[in-house]
Order: sequence, then structure tokens, then C-alpha cells
Amino acid sequence: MAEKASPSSNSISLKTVDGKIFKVSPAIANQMLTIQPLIKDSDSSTIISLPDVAAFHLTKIIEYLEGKPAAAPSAVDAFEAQFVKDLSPEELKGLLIAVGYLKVNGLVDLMANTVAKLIENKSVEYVRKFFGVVNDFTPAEEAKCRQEHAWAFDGVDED
Amino acid sequence: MASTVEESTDLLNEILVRLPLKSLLRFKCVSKRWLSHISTSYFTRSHTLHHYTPFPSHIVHNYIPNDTYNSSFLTMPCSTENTDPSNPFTADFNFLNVPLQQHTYIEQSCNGILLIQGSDEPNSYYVCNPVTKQFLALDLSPPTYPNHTGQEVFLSFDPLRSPHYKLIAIRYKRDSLSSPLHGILGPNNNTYFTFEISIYSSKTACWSGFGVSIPAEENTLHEYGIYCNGAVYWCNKSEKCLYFDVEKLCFKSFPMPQRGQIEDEQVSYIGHSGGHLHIIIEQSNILLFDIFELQEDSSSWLLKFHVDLQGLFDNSLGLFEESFDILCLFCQEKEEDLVLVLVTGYQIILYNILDRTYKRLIDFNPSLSRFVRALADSGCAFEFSKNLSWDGDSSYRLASTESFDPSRLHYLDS
Repeated sequence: MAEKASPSSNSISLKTVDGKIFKVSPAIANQMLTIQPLIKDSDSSTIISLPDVAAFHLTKIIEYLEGKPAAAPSAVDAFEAQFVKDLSPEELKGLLIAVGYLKVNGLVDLMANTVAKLIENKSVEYVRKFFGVVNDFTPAEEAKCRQEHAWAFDGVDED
Repeated sequence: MASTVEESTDLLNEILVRLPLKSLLRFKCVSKRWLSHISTSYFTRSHTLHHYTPFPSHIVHNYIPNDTYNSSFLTMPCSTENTDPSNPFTADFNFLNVPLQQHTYIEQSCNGILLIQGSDEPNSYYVCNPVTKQFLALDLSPPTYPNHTGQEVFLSFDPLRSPHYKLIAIRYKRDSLSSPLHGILGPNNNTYFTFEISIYSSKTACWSGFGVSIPAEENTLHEYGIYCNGAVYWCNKSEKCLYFDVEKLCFKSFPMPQRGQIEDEQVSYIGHSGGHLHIIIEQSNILLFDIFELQEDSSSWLLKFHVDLQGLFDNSLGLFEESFDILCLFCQEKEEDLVLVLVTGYQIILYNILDRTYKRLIDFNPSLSRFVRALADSGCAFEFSKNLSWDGDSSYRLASTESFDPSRLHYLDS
């Protein structure tokens, strides 16, 4: 995962799957639990490769870690609401996978909450399409499953 | 390493655990993997704990008709937000596959799990989660224990303490013969209650039993017991009442409010909410009453509220004082908020004791007057918290209390 780069500063270099290199401070990098052990052993010349994380996702993750207010919960709520506001469902999903892979402090909760809110009132078909799930029920099995909890299918949003 | 959410069980779990119940029941149909994930006891437990509040989400109430109609029950939300007063919120017991449903009714509600008495056999009981429709059928025919005067069954389930539930079957008889405790208790006590207690644990799926004798006092146990927060309480008008601590397996005494100076007809409600036992005692007339709450150590009662409903009733609004009944008293999200569920006229209303306001929960069609009357006559309602909790893999397993072996009788300090 790690390769050598030219020594420059105290920052950590992270390389995304689409080939972009980001320099971040150790304080920021340490909040990505997955790469923590690599940081300990690395010097300023090390480049840590992040498969599964695109430049767009890493930009957002750094924006979150650098911008999150330290104190008042109400300020955090407002910041987090703003952070996810303009993300499309596809971007949300991709970012969730990236933060899930990097195990980013606090951001897994925020992304899982946001995705849960997004699908909460959606249909079974929407959810299958959104997550790319193959329906492996036979039509009879699915009908039985739907009939068992028929009330749960009322008041579902349009896809 | 996962490149989709579907491939990562951890991420899928992070999302699912945050979803409300209704979404999860729907998403059981997404795929077999989702169905099995949502059904595992690990997931149902973490979901229950994630969404846990000590306050009920619903009130369940029996409807026991006197004729050939099947029994059913109401599941009413605890808040009138987004509800339609014309929705009677009825539910049935069909999922239990009880052959005869005329006299099937809810005996107890405990943190999302119900104890139901069936009518197919004299001692048939069901433990169930009505949301997931999982259940356990039990035959609690009293084993070979002669002359017992009654059997009561209680359900104990607290998801904060354990994923498993317990059933407590208590049988007792009055005994005037000399008891093995005779010498210890003193010569003046020559009447005893001998209890036989059997406890079923869903963890081990088996029963264990023991017996205990304690001196009987006048009026002891002439009322039904009520389970609240780890103990079974028998309230009656005697000065010292009895309760059974399910964890410590011992009997202790507790007082009644007003030092037992109350008449039966003054007690208009005994129930529990948010882990507290409540008793409502009428003063001078039925619209003036005191609400007492048993203190945590069961040593005394706290007068929570003095309630005056005299200004509430207005015939033009369909609030009739002459057909007024208290169905339930429950604690609401806001601390110190107590809400009464009242049936009056053709309506069920929620009355907030603190701010003295009421909201219409159900407005029955006047043609259902017989139904509304039967509701008022069906005893008290129970608080209920919808969740996915269930412990056990087979829904059709039949359990029975093991035969009581008198040689295993041992005596506990009362």
C-alpha cells in the first residue's frame, strides 16, 4: 500500500484510486482508523494508496474533518446538515463506502444516518436498485413475505 | 474490502439499525440475505437497544365481545400526531393460529412482548411479539399439586438487562396445617400461603420450580397480581401487601397508599408505566381522584397528582361523564408528563394531566356503541413499545411446566 515519495514536509500523502495525491496533516490522517497503523511506520516520503476511495470522496472527507466544529452540538448539527445537503443519492452511497473503508471518526454515523433517512420511506424496488441487490425470492416467497407485513407497505414514497 | 454497500455486512448493519420498524418489515422482502439479517437475534437486539426509550409507543387494549365474534385488540398510538380519529386501530390474534378466538385476550404487555391467554385449552398461553408475529405456545396446566386456589402467570422482559424473557407461574393455596416454618414464625400464625413458583427462561427453554410458605394475613392475595419492573405486586386493602421479587426470588411486603384506609370501589385503576406502579384512588366523586406512584424501593407511595376532571365533560363535544372510564395511565416523553387514556361517549381521548388538555384519539361511529361499551368493560389497557425483540427460534414449540416435586420444596425468608 505504501510507496516512496520525495521527502518534503511533515504531511501524509494519500493516493486515491483515480490517481490523485492529497497531502494531509497527521492529525487529519489519524482520524481515518484504517490507515492509522500505516502512519506510524511512515515518514514524509511515504504515499499511502487508498483503493475504494475516489478523489471526490477524499475531498469531502478532508472537508469534513477540517471543518467540523469542535464544540457546541448545535453547531455540529448545522455543519453536518450542510455537509450532506447537496449530495446526490449516488454520491451519498459512494461516500458511505469510502468512509466505511477508511473508518472515519463520526462520519460513518453521519453517512449511515443520511442513507437510512433517504431510503426510510422508499419501496423495496427502489432499495434493490439503489444497493444493486438481486432479488433471490421466488414470486411465491416474495408474495408471502409481503402479505405477512402488509401494513408496512402503506404510505411508501414514489420511486 | 467492499466496493458496494451490499458486500459489506458492517455498513449494511449500520444503515439497517437506524431504520424505523415499518421500513425494516418492508425491507425483509428485498432479498433472502436482508430477510435473514433483519431476523437474527443479534440484529433485533441491537435495533431494540438503538431505539430504546422507557416510554411506550402504543397502548394495547382488549376487546372481548360476549357473543360469537372473535376477540381482537386495539393498538393505539400514544400520540395523536398524524393520526386519523376515524381509524379504530383494530388488530386480531389470527397470527397465533388459535382455533377458537372468542376469549383470547392480552394478560400482560412487557417491553414489546405480550402474554396472551388463549381459549383453545383452559391453560393455554401464548408469548408473542405482535409486530414480528413470532410466538411461543404454552400449556400451563397445573401439574400434580393438590388444592391450589389459583394460578397466575406473568411475563418478565427487559431488553436493557437481557435479550431473554422469563415466565413466572405462581400457584398458591391456603394452608392451615402446621408449616415447617411454624416454629420460626411464632405460634400465633397458624394460617399459611404455600406458593409453588415455576420460572421459565427463554435462555434455557426450560422450567425450574421451587416452593415457599409464608404466613397468611387477612385479605392477602384477594386481588390479581400485577407485574412491574422485576416484581409482581398484589395490591389490596390490607395494610401490608405482598410482592414477589423475580430476580431475588423472595417475597416482601409493601404498604398501600393512605395507610390502607381505602375501599375497593375507590380504586379506579392499578397499572404501570415507565417502570412505575400507579394506583388511582377516587376522592368524593369519580371525577376527582389522586394518582399515586410507588417509590423505587417499594417502601411508600408518592402522591403524583390530584386530578379534577369536572370541567372536562361537555355533552355537546361528545364527552359524557356518565360513560367515562379510565383505560390506562402512561408516562410520556416529556418528563413528569402523565397521560390518561379515557373512554367517554363514543371516543377515546388522551388527557394530559399536567397541562389539562385532551386530544381525540379515536372517534367511533355511534353505530358501534356496543363495541365501545365492551371496550370499557374489557379491563385496563396496557402500555406497549413496538420493537423487533424476540428470543427463540421455533414458534410452534410447546412447553409445559414440569411436575412439581414436593421434595424440592425449600423455604425462603419472607
